[in-house]
Amino acid sequence: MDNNSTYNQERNKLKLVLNSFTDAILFESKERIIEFVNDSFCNLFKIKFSPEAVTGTNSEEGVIASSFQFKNPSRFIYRIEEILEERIPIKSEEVLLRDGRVLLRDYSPISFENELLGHLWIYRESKQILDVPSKVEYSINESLFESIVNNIPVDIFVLNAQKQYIFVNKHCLPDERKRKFIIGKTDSEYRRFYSVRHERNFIEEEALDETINQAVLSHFETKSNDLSGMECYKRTTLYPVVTEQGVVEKVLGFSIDISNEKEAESKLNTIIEQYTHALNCINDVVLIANGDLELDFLNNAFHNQLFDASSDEGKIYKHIPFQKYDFYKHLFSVLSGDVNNAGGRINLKGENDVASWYRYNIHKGILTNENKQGSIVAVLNDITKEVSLEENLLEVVKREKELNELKSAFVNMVSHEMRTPLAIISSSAEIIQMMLASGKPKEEIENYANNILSEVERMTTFMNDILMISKIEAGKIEFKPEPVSLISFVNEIMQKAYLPWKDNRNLSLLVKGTERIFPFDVKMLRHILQNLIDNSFKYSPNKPSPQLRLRYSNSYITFSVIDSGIGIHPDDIQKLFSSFSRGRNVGSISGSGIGLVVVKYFVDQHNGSIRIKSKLNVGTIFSVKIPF
Amino acid sequence: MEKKTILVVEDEHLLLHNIVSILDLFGFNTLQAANATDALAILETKKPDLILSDVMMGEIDGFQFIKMVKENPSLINIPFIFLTALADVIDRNKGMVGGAEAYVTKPFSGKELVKTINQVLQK
Repeated sequence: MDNNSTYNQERNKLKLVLNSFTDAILFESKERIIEFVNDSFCNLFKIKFSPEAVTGTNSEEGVIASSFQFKNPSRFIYRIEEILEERIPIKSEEVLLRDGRVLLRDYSPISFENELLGHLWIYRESKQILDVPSKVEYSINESLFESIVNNIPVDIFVLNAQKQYIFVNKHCLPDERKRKFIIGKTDSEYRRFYSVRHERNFIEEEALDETINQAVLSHFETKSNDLSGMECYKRTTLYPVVTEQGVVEKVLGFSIDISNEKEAESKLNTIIEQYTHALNCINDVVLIANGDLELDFLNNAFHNQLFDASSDEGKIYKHIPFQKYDFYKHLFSVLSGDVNNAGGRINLKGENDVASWYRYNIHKGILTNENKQGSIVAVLNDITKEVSLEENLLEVVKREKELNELKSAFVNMVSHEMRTPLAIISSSAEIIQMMLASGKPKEEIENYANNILSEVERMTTFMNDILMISKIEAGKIEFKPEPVSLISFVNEIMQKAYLPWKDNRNLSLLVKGTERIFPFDVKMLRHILQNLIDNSFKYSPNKPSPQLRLRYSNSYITFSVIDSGIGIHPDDIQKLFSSFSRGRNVGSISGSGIGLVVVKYFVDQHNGSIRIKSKLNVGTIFSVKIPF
Repeated sequence: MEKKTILVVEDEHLLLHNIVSILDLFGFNTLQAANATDALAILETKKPDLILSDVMMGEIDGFQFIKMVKENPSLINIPFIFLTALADVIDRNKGMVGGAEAYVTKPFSGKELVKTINQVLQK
């Protein structure tokens, strides 16, 4: 009897203690008989009976009786069975009541010395009231829709407006425990338990904020490792689920594996890089432009040769001015589709304002933009060197032509100058023969004989002149001055040829000033004097003798040859020193016209100058001035 | 047979004289001019049976001279012979193209010259 009252006393004490708990507590035996239940439990589950009345009843019946209070009654019942079967302790499992309240359930099997005694249930109200479908609903309503969602090879998840997971499909989290655990947690809360490295999901905060706050779609890409450790890329899209009032109440998200896409993109980029690199290695300028004349691509050659850094704009005409009409004419005809290809030459100023010649070729481009405008590819190669070579070549050819023409003219002149005396010689000889045969007087015959002789002399002089010119051209006539007495030199020449000349006239000499010995080229001066004096005699037949005057002044010597002969027409004076020209009035006086050219050359060698003064039918003065 | 008249146009004085002498000795009448201008002046009043002209002369050369003569309807039928020192083909052809009947190159023999003249006159 004493044991019983002690037991009852103890029991009452325990009851008091347990009843003071606000949490609902129930303990049932392993046979499912309620051994203890507190007030809070009865209040919570609206049990009409007092705890004492409930004690000793079958808990199973109680479960069924109170199931109506739960949002999903059958689920509630089933879950209890499940828990009792598993006998795994549970902490804070959410249970939804029909009235919207959320309860948190704790369960613990109680054993003593390895023997199960019973089951302890504790319930308390959750602080939050969530109108959220619990996962319990989902696992019971394993509808077709749900099995599809769980078998799709795409990560699908749903968040509430507080960024907590309310649904996650199998592909997203294959581990069922983790799937259960994540419900009600935010991404960061979840990741505190499971490090990102092993998981494939995480949500970019910015994107989520955007979707929730602005009710817009957002995307983000993530890189992670899949279960086999391979790198994989995912693109996640977040959709806002919006109430009629426009409030975002849920966010639906799905992620797709874009690793293949990424790989393809990476391969494509490598290829693009390869070709771009190739284009950047060549010296030709390559540019791609669209129908708006915007530059889509420029290779390095463009930057090095043509890019006008002062103009940032990507329009072609900032670098190739519109004034290059041909270029733009070709460009537009390719753009418009008239032709596939057009080209030409263009001169452009590149860096440092250096102008270069380019050959350009404009090709139809592959791409077309939304406005159906085409594009063009222009290739320019620098042909400045070629153009310059071309110009040089043209120059050379021109000169060759000129030279050939000069040669021809020269040959013609020589031919004429030789053939004319020959014609006179041969016809004279013929006439002499005919006259001898017909007995004409010898005076007449003698004239023709004289003509032959003078023509021979003429040809000889001519040959000598040609030879002299040829030697000069070949550089064989060197200027070799030596200081010799000019007066002695002149006297010597006069003695030899002009005292008298062949027509018996004597050249007179006049010297003014004091002689000064200075260096001159003897052979050249001989030639000058002989030529001028010969001419003075030749062109003044039957006139008073010509005169040679030497005048010494401080810094130069002047010698003049003066005659009173036929004179020279003023217009002819200019031309005398150019090849082949003779005065228009020379008439019957023979001469080749080359002599004076050589004279001028020799005078030039002495740094001297030659001047002519003449009056028709009065006379001529040739003056040569040579500095000391 | 009537004596034929030849107008000789040659700027080399000695050669002109020799040609005239040869033609004289061969029984021709001659007219002389030292250049094309003088020759044209002579042609205004006299009409020779043939014109023997040098090519390379002063301001008006043989080719221009023949053109000017052929433009004159009263002179167009007078045959031309060129006396030329130029031996190349082009100029010879120019002579023919210019309307000359024949050409003779310098130096020439008197007999050759007279033969050519007679051939042309007979045409």
